[in-house]
Amino acid sequence: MDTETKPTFSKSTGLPRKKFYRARAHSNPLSDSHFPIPISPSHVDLSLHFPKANNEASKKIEFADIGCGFGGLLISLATLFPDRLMIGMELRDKVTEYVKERILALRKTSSEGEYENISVVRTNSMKYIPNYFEKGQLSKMFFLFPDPHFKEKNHRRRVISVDLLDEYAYVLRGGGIVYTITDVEELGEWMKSCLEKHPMFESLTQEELDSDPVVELLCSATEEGQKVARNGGQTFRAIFRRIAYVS
Amino acid sequence: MENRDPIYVWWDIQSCRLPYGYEPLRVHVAVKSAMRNLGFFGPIDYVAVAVKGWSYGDTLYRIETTGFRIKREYAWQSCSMFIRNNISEWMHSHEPPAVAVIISCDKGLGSLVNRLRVEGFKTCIIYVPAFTSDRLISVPNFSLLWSDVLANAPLVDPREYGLPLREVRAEAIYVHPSQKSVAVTVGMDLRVFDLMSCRKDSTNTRVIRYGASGKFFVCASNDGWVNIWSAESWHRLHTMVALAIAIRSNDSHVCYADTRGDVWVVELDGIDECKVSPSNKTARLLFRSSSIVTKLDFSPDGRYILSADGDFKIRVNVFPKKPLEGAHEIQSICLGHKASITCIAFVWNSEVTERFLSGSDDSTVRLWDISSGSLLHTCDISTMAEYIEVNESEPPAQVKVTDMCTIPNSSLAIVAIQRFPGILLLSCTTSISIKKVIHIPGDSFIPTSISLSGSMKLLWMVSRPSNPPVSKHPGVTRVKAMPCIEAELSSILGDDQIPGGTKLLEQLQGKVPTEDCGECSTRSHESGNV
Repeated sequence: MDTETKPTFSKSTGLPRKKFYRARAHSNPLSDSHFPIPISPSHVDLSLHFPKANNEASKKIEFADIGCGFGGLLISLATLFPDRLMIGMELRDKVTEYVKERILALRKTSSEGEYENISVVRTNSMKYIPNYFEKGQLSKMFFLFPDPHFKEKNHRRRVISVDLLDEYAYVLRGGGIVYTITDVEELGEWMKSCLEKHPMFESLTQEELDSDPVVELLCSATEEGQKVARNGGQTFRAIFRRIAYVS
Repeated sequence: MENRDPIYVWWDIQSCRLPYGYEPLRVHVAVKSAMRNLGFFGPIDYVAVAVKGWSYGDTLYRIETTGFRIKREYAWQSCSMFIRNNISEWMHSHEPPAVAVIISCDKGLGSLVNRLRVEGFKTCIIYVPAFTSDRLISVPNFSLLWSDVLANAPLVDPREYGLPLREVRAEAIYVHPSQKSVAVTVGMDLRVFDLMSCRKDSTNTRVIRYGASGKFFVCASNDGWVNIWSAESWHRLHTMVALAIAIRSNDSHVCYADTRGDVWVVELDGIDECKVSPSNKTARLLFRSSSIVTKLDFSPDGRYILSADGDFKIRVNVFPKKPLEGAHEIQSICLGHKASITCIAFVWNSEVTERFLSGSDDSTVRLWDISSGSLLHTCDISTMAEYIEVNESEPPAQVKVTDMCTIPNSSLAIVAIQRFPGILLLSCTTSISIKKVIHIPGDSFIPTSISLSGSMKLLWMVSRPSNPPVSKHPGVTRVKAMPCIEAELSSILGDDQIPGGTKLLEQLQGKVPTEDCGECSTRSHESGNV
C-alpha cells in the first residue's frame, strides 16, 4: 500500500487523517447488524489480525478495548505490553476503518516491528463478545468514555449493565480487570453501582490503582480523555477485578 | 339499584394487544360484562388507539364495526400520550358521576388516575401484569387483568363469520411424566385429556411443560401469556407473559423468558395450591439475554439453566442457590449453530452426564458438553433429504429439526424432522450416529412434536394433517403412540390400543365429520400392522 498516493493520509506523518473518518457519536447497539461475525471463538483468524506477531499457536488475545474509538489507548498499550495480543472493538464503520489504517501505517513506519500486537474489529460487543472470546480468555477489558445514553428508556443500550457484566465476567479470567472511565458523572455513578452490585467483581484498592501503569493511560492516551483534560473537565473511574464466585 | 353512570373506555391497542385467537368483534362484550361484574350497567363509549402503519390485520376494522372510535397515532409512545391528553380534556368537559376505564400498560398513568379519583370519577385500569407497576394497580378504584376481562369474550370459531382462517400453528404434544394426562396444542387450542379421570379440557395455548413430578403444568399461549396450572386440580395458579418456559426438576422453580430476552424466575413454593396470585410480584429477573430467547430448559439435575437465543447460541447459566437475586455466573456458551435452535434434550444416563443435544433449523443435531460448552459432535441430517416429501412451495434442500427427546437411562435420542414421515433414532455417546430410520407406514404422518412418557415407555407423536385442506377442518390433527421398550422402538399402536382409546383420540385430534372419521380409523389400522 502506498500512503503517498492516498489523500486521506497526512503527508508528514504517513498516518491517516481523522477528518476523513468522522462519524456520528451515537449508534444503536441493539439493532441488528450486517457485518460478519465469527461462529465461535475458534473461528477468529488471528493470522489476519496479527500477521507478524511472533506468536506461538497457543497465543490468544488478552486485552479487549470495547468501543475503542480512534484507538489512542490501544496504541499506547501496544508498546507498554509488547508481548500481549490486544484488540479494539468498535461499532462505527468509519471509525474502525480509521483505526485499521492507523495501525497499518504505524506498523509500516515503526522500525522495531512494533504495533504488531494490536488490531481492531468492527463488531457489536454488546451482542457478540462470546463469539470472539472463550471463557476466561481476557485479562483486561476497557470501557473508556462510553456513550452515556441519558434517557432512562435507553439505559438498556449502556455498555455496562448488571446483565452484560455476566458476559464480561465470563470472558474475563479470575483476577482480570475491568477499567471504566467517563466524564459524565451520572454514568460514572451508574457504572460503579453496576460493578458493585455484581457478585463477581470487587473494587481495586488505592495502592493497586497507584501501582498499575494502565490507570494513568485511561485519561492521557485516549482522544476523549485528552479532550476532557483540554476543557478542564472531571473524569470518573471505576476499576474492578473479576473474582471467583460460587453461586 | 343498578348503577347507570356512563362508562368511557380508552383502549391502547399497542400495549394491550388482543391475544391471538380472540375475536375483535367480542371485545366490547368482554368489557361490558367485566363492567357488569363490577356493578356498572351504564351506556359505554369506546375509544381505541392504534399505531399508524402497524399491521393489525382486519382487527381494527372489526373493532370499529362494534362501535369503537379508532384513533391512529404515529408511534406507541404517542398512543399513550393521546390517551393521557384525551382523558385530561374529557375530565374538563364531563361531570361525575362517570366511570373511566383505561386498558393500557402505561406506567405513567398513576397521577392522571389519581386526579380522576379526586374529581369524583370512578376509575378502572385493565392491565397486563408484566408491564405494569404494583403502585399503578393500587391507584384506581378497580384494576383488572386483561386476560381475565377477555375470558368473558369466549373464543369463537371464525368460520361462523365466514372469515378467512389464520394459518394453524405447528402442533405440539406433551405427556405427563407418569402418563396421567396427555396434552396437545393445535392452533389456538390446548386439548388436555386426563387419563385418570377421563375428563377433557381445552384452552388456547402454544407451549406446555409438565413438572418432573407431574404436580404442575405450565403453558404459554400464543399471545405470550403463561399460566401455571395445578395438574391435579386444574386450578390456575399464576399468570405471566412469556415465550419460553422451563420447570426445575424438583418443581421448586419455573423460569420463563419474555419478549425482550429477559428471563424471569418464579418460586413455586410461594404459590399457594388454590390461590391465584394476581400480579408478577413473585417473579424476579434471573438474567437478561442480548436477544430474544427461543428455548429455555433446566438440566435434569437442576444445576444449570440453558437458554437458546436469537443469535443462535446456547447460554448455560449456573442456577444459583438464591435465584431471586439473579443468576450471574455463566458456566459456558455453546456456539456453532447457524440458524435458530428449535429443541434441546439432555443425554443423562449412568455413564454419561452433563451432555446435551440441540436441534436447529440449520439441519444439524449437535452434541455439547454442558460444563465446558465445547461442541463434541455435529450430525448433519441433510442426508435425510432423500426421504423427505417434496413440497413445491418450499426449497427441497431445507431439512429442519422440529423436535427431539432423549430416552432416559440410555444414550439414544429420537428426532423429528420437518417433512419427514417418520422419526430418527440417534445414538449419542461421544459422537452422534444415526442408529435407525423409522418410517411411519400408511398415510404420510409427519410428526411435528414428540413426547416420551417416563414410566410407561410410550412415545407420543402428533402431526399436522397433510391431505385434508386446512380450511375444511382447521383444528384436526393426528395423534399416534409407539411403544419404546428397552430403548427399542417397536411398531405403532392402533387407535384402540392407545391408552384412553378412541375417547382420547377424539378429544386430542379434534372432531372430524363422520365420513372422514371412518377413513381415519381404517388408515390407522393399516399402519398398526407393521
